[in-house]
Amino acid sequence: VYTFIKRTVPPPALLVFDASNRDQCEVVRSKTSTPLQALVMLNDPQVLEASRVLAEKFVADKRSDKEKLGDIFRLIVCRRPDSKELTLLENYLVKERQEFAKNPQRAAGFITAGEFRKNEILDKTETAAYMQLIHTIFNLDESGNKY
Amino acid sequence: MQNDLNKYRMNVSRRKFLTGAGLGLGTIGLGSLLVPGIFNKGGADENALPLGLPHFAPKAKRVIYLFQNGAPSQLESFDYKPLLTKMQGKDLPAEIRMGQRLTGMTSNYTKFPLVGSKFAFSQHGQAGAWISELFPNIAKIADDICIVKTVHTDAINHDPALTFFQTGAQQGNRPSMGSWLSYGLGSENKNLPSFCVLLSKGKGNGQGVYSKLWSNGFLDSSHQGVVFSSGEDPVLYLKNPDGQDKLSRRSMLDHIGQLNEMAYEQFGDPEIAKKIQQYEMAYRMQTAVPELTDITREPDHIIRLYGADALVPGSFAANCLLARKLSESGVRFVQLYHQGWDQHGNLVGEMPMQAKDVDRASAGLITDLKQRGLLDETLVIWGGEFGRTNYSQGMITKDNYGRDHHPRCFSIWMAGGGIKPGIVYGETDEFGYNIVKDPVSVHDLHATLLHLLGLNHEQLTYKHLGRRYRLTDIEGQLIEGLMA
Repeated sequence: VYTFIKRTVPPPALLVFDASNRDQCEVVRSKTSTPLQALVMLNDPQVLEASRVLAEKFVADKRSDKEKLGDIFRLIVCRRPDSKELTLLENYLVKERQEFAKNPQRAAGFITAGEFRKNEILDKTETAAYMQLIHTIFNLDESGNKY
Repeated sequence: MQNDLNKYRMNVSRRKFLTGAGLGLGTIGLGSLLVPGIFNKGGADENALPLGLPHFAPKAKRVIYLFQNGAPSQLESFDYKPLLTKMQGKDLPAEIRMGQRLTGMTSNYTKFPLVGSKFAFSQHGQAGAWISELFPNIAKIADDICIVKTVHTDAINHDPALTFFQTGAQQGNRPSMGSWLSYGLGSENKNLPSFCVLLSKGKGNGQGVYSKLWSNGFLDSSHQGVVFSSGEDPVLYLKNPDGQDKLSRRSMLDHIGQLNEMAYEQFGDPEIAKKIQQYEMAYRMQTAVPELTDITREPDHIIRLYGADALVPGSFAANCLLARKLSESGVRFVQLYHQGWDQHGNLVGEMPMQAKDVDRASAGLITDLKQRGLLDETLVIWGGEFGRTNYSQGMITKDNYGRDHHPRCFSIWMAGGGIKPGIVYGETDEFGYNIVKDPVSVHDLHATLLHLLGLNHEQLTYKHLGRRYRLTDIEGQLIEGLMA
């Protein structure tokens, strides 16, 4: 991923993750964990857009929820979910699908995130539900930290 | 081995705690609020006091630190030295300098021409404090503040001096003052971080600030300073995206929490629990922060108190107003930095601009706190990392001069929170070079500050790498004369 860096105004989302402000060299990036970082992961359009585009890819895929969620989890977390995790994700997907079906406006709004071209043929409810699941997985501790 | 066992035991009890908390993850915050040390990796010390409770009755509950970054000259602000004007251009006598080390910038000087303040001084308040014309508003609150003319430091360059002031050590990697307080006293408001940092920049010659200054060091990462942005929105990404509301977010966070707990069971990394806490804090901040940072709700007479700049996001005045609001809401330590106070040259040009940036808002903050009845429980500190030399760096011209770094004495002022108001503490010699009475070291200042907050600086410790660390390291004396 590339971004523009203006010399005096570094990208704010990167600063929240302690990117160097480039006025002095930084040998080691300090380890931090702040609520502001959580806010970036939860609300930055970049993360939402990534979730939406990945969701569109998997909604177009006609395999079962279980198989798809397993693949999504592996793509982001780099391992397969265990059965407990998979059950939790499946139940959450069912619930979100119902919620978005009840409230199509919310679904339509949610999938507007980002500038990447939208796949207009796909079912909006389904895309929103998958997007929600993917966004959740992006926000797991393990997605940002490797053990 | 014993340590590993202990760690495992700590984790087991914490896991039980996490599971017990179930969906109501807010209680996790409460647990660590009562005993913040309980989850600390390797730092568990059964003899340690139950943190989160002060050692004795505190005078102050909160701190607002108005750090004047770059080191404002004491000789043009609070330490009046008419002798320097009389001896203008004469060499600083060697018996006064007494071999004081110099910075790299003046170490090749053979002559040190004394220079007096270009700005007039007059006396203010019951103690007759000398305050320069650059700070007319601070002069008006002379009876509310305590000017300390005899602070001294070990460091002579900005970064180590700043780091020393913030962490009690020059090298970095130690916890910042705000982190120590967050660790020692916990939070007063679960919707906001207990240590917030606000940055602003003046037009004068500036020096950088770095995240290590508000680092939690070896303390738990929940104690680190949270930097607010200097733009229109002090906290970025507060708004839920389209198609998300409070309910759907709650559900999302619950699912993230449950999945993180599963990961925790597998990996046992305590930072995962911290992550859960930080997500919960983020969720609560989404509601709390917009209300707090909305200055349009502040009445005109309050804005006037801080000056028109209070409406300019990221200005020192706006940050002072925000600091009051944060502090009022229970943020334990609000750290401001105003950059631009490094007047090696063009002091006469730059210092009035810098002073104008901060004079009205600093005084306005004190007045505002006072009229709200908050000054008694809020300790406000104003000052830089060291002082400036009584001799000029570079040529003294008809209208201008500069001053180099001076660690042996400099002036700061404090107000509220158990500080004796309306006094001037300590005396420097006629040259404004050495302390002749009542020195106050940075460690002394830290010890006194912690005392006012109800903490014994010798007991607020954290065991790390085999020894107990304190903010005051192995030094620090209470300065009784500063306390009401």
